Amino acid sequence: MKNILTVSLVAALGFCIWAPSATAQEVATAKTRARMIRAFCTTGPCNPGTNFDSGSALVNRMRQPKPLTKRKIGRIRLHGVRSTPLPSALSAVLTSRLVWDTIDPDGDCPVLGADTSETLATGSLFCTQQGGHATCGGDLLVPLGLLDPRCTDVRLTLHDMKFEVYQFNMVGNDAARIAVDGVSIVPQDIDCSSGGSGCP
Amino acid sequence: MAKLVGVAVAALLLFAWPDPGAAQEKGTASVRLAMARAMCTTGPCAPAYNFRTGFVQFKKQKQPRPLTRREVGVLRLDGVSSTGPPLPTVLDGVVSARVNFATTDPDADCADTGADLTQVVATSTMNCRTKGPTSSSCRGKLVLSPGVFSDPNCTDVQVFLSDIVVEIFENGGVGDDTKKIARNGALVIGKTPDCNSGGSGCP
Repeated sequence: MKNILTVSLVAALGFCIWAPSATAQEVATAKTRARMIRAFCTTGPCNPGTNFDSGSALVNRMRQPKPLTKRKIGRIRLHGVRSTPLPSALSAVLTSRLVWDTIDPDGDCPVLGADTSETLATGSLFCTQQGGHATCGGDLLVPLGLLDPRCTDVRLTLHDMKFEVYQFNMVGNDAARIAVDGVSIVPQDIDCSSGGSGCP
Repeated sequence: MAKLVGVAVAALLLFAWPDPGAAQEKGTASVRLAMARAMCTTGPCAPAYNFRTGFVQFKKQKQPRPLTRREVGVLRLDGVSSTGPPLPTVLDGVVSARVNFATTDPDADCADTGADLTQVVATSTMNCRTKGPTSSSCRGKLVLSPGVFSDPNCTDVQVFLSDIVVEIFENGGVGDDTKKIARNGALVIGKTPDCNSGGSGCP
């Protein structure tokens, strides 16, 4: 009896410790925090009349069916927005590559295995004015009809997420684009070949 | 009088209107991007490896730091598991981006002024530590690639990075899609049953 118990215990422990490797990522990714930089005013089209100090874009951790029911998947903010006149609202868009898994437990999802680039979310940023600048922020919402209720049991991977902020209601117009996600590296006044501070 | 007011208003507008060439004056704060499994569903990937979570973090940068300290962030994958081969001891990370140099250089000696390039900006050698018999945790520093932001003439020119892509490969497999394990993105977990079949939390 004691032997049987020991063997059972060892087998149970062994099964718990040696879990077979999963074939799919099992945990939803944590939130992504991107930063906003001024759209390509240096070499490409942008809205030259609007500038800002800083900005951020956040995508929350997502688990089905939340993107279908609540639709809010993140938010976007711009600080120190300067233009004449100051904006009262801006528009934001998040585009992404949507890769649907090939496994659907009940086999009714029509986009099974699809790999498409879509507008994943849009948002209106409402601005509050403080002094000579404005702070603009708003939620990113999944468009109605983008996600099919039959597909909430299918794993969805998002790649190549791109956040953009435009003048209000001018999404897609390059000349009205204010910000995109990225990183800005601030220059020093005197470069390192001319004796700038902190240089090697 | 009306003319004077007109001139005053015009002058005010002229000075209040931001300079089109004016740069964003603050450097962006740190960036944190989550990692999702590379396209094993529809594209090539390293099918034998999986992971639980991962992220890449870029520190805030201000010149001349990229020139003097080449480490710009960290890369991490946790819960790395394998369906066959041994757990990895080393993984390779690569960050590519569109690099956009501003057109303004105070002393006009930067050769890259106004350049707009897509290139590998940083790499990482991630060392893995075994966490139990079936998984390991891999992390590494993100280091600027040789030649990137290394010109001392350009530390007075603003740089923008956009279209950032972060990829993690098996050791020695950089550029080979069949050895790609992760890419920046987000994973939305499915829930059974679906909303068409009475799933919980559905409308």
